[in-house]
Parts: sequence; structure tokens; C-alpha cells
Amino acid sequence: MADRVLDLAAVVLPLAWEALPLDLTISKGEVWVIDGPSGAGKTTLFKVMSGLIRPYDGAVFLFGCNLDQTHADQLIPLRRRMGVLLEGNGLIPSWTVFENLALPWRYHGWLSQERLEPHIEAQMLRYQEDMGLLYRVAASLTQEQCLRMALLRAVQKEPELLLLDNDRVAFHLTRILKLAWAEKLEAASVAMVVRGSPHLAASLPAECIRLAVMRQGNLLASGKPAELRHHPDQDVVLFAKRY
Amino acid sequence: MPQNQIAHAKSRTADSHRPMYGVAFLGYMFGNLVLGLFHLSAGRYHYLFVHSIRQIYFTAFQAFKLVFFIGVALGILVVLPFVSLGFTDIDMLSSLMEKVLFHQLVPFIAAIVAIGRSGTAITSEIASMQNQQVMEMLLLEGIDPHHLLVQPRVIGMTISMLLLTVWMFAGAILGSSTIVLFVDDVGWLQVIRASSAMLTLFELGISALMMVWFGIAIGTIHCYYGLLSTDTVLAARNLPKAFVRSFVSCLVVITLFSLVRYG
Repeated sequence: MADRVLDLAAVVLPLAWEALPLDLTISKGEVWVIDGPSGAGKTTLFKVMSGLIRPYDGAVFLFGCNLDQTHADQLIPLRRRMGVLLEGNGLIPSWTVFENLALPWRYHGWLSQERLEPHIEAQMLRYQEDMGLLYRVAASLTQEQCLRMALLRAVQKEPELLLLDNDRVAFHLTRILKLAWAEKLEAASVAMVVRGSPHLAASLPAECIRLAVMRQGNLLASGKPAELRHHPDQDVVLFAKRY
Repeated sequence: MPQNQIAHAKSRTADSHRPMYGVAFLGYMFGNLVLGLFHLSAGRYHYLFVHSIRQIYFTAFQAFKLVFFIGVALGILVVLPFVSLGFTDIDMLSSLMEKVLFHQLVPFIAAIVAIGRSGTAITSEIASMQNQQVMEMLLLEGIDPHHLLVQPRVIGMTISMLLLTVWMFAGAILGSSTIVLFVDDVGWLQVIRASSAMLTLFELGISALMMVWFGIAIGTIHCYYGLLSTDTVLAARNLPKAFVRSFVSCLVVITLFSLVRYG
């Protein structure tokens, strides 16, 4: 059985209306696409999965640890194994890109000052990023450059789970997969959860894709897109055909 | 899960999801800031030190010319009417400077400058971070946003308030002494000696305490309103609110301190 990285057990999303409990298991080697119409609860689901907000009910297991019963200090090493990209880029505008990328390493003392700069430069080169951006203030970057840097921050810790709650990421995902992540997915050493978007299918390896279709905070269906194309709910069929 | 169980689960956990506002949040923030000083993380003090220094540089050192000029103008404005009326006694003027300028005007005007120049910058900067989901990102990195972003600003603002008062008071002494020198046959040294003789250790301590309070109040209130601004519309609404709240809090504090001094 593949390694489970994230388990949602009977989770009720904290929404304004009453949602039904949902179960979802994400294992290494899989790319889960969370799709659904606007207001379906995709962002809330991402926030629950990352541990930013607590569900009304149920449990979230990240690498086997129940997030609700884990102390904040014990969460730090768990979160190091997880990379997250939110809808906003999350970069501190008045800091340089380097300062933004260096923050978790410096703050938690994961890397010494001498090793920090070569490490971040190596990550920039690895993901074929423009080195000229490294010492520019984040506020001076274009939205596209901010997104690339935020994505780099999500992958720089070599996470085992990547949560990408951003529908503009499709184009950059192709590059990230080509440069490092396709191999890792093939070797089933990492997992990915991506917010659905119309152009995403072309970026992802078809054999890894699993689809979760949501509506009004409920999980309508989940599984391989090919299997969901014959689902009785037309919304599920519509989204399954994207992939 | 049956609907009644879901409703029960919701009522059980609803309190933990309700965001904090008002005094509760401000109290939580302040407590967290104090506790944060004892929170040991490998690189924490590096950020605390560097960003406190940056705040001091922006609030106190970059505003030096402005604040000194305001001090000179205040000194002239306060002393000039008295001198024109014929009150040229150096001891009387020094006492006037101490009571009016050092105890009342200089700290309050310095606080207004800090609110207008740095406080609003803090609110809008933190609001723009909220807009970009920086706080969520920091929490996901295991970093308390209050410790990283709020604490250095409050510490920096507190130290800056002390410095701003010194700059402005130096300007005020210069301004008022210049007027005195024009009309009376005394030297610079005499004027400065007379002014400093009025400033006892107790008075200096009281003023320092007041400025520390101003710094903490201005820093915390402006960060609080920045944290409440989750979008640009809210940021635009919260900026003037932050300005007025910190202005009023400084006014209340300076009035209380004056009552203690003269009451």
C-alpha cells in the first residue's frame, strides 16, 4: 500500500451552511486535483488540510499525526515536510526575495548562515529561476514573478506533500514537474494537491491524477477522472472531462 | 453523520472558530507580545533585533530633521508671546519651557508625528501583508506573526518615542533660547543651564515612562488595525480609525500624567 501523507476522516468543513462529513486519503505518488464551482469550499478544504483552520468535526491526519492533538512545537517538523502555496503569494512585500526564502531556515535554525545563501541560490538554479530576482524587494516584482517565488518557497524544503491552492499555477507547474517533481511522483516519494483550473490537465502526468469534485462544502465524488466520467451527477462529469 | 450530530458538533466548536475583535484581541495581542519575548527559537532574536533597529531608523532617525524643526518652531511659538509682553526673566522662561514644552507639548506633538508618519505606515504595511496572506503563510511555517511582525514594531516604536522626544526637546531649547538671546543679555550656556536645572530625575523618569507608554500604545494599536484589515477596502477604513484611536489614547495618557504631576 502506498504511503499515506494526508487523511481526512469524517471532516465537516467550517462553512456558513451545514456540510456533510467528507473522507479523503492522499498517498504518495498521487496528484489530487480539487475542483468544483465557485463557492464549493475548495479554499476552506485547503485550509483544513494544511491545518490553518480546524474542521467543525472529524480529524485531519498529516503524516499520521492528528493535527488537533499535536502541540504547536511538534507541528513544526511536520510542516517542514509540507509545502504550501496559497491564493495570495504570502511574500512579505518590504523584504527581498532572499529574505523571504531564508525566513523559515533562519527562524528555526535549520541552516547556518554560511550554508543559507548557497542553498537558496542552488534552489533558484535548480528551478531555472532568474537570479536577478533574488535580491529585489518583493513589492517591486510583477504578480507573475511573485507567484514563481512563492512556488519556489513552497518547494525549497523538499516537501513530501505539496498543497497548491492557486489556480494560476498551471503554467509553472509544468516546469516544476519537469525539473524535479515528475521523477519524485513516479518514484512515489511525494504527493501533490492542486486547486483545479481549466488548463491544469496539460501540466500534470495523467496516470497520477485523482480528482475530488466539491459542491457547497460537500465532496460529490473522488477518484480517477476516467472513472468519474460516468458518474450520475452532471457536475462531476463536467469536471472529470477536464482531466 | 446525522444532521443533529453535525449541529451538535458545530455548536461545540463554534466558539473556537469565532474570530476575536476589540479589547479581547488587543489584550491577546499584548499578552502574546510579552510572552513572545521569552519564546526561544534559534533565529528569533536575529529578526527581533534587526527589525526593531529598522523601525527605530525609520521612525526616529529618518524623522530627525522634521522633528527637530518642529521643536525649534514650538520653542519660538511658546516663548515669543511672553518675551513680547516683557517677561524676559531667564528663570521664569526656563520654568515655562519645562512645564509647557517638556511636560505637555513636546511629548504630545512627538506622539502625533509618530502616529502620522510611522503608525499609518505600520497599519498599511501589515494590511498589505494580510492581503497577500502573509500571516497564514507564517503560521504554516511555524512562525507566530505577532512575534515576527508586531513585536519589533512595538519595541522599535517605544525606543523611537524616547528619541523623538529628545530630538524635539533639543529643537525647542534651541528655538526658545534664540528668542531669549535676542532680547536679554545672557549667553547660550546660561540658558541651557537654567533649562536643564528644571529637569529633575523624577521629571525625566515620568516623561520617559509616558513616552514608553505612548510607544507601546501607538505600536500595538496600529498593528492591531493592520491585522484587522483583510482586504484593501478594510485597510482604507481602518487607517483613520487607527490614527484616531492612538491619538485619543495618547491624549488620555498625557492628561492622566499631567493630573499626577500637578494634581
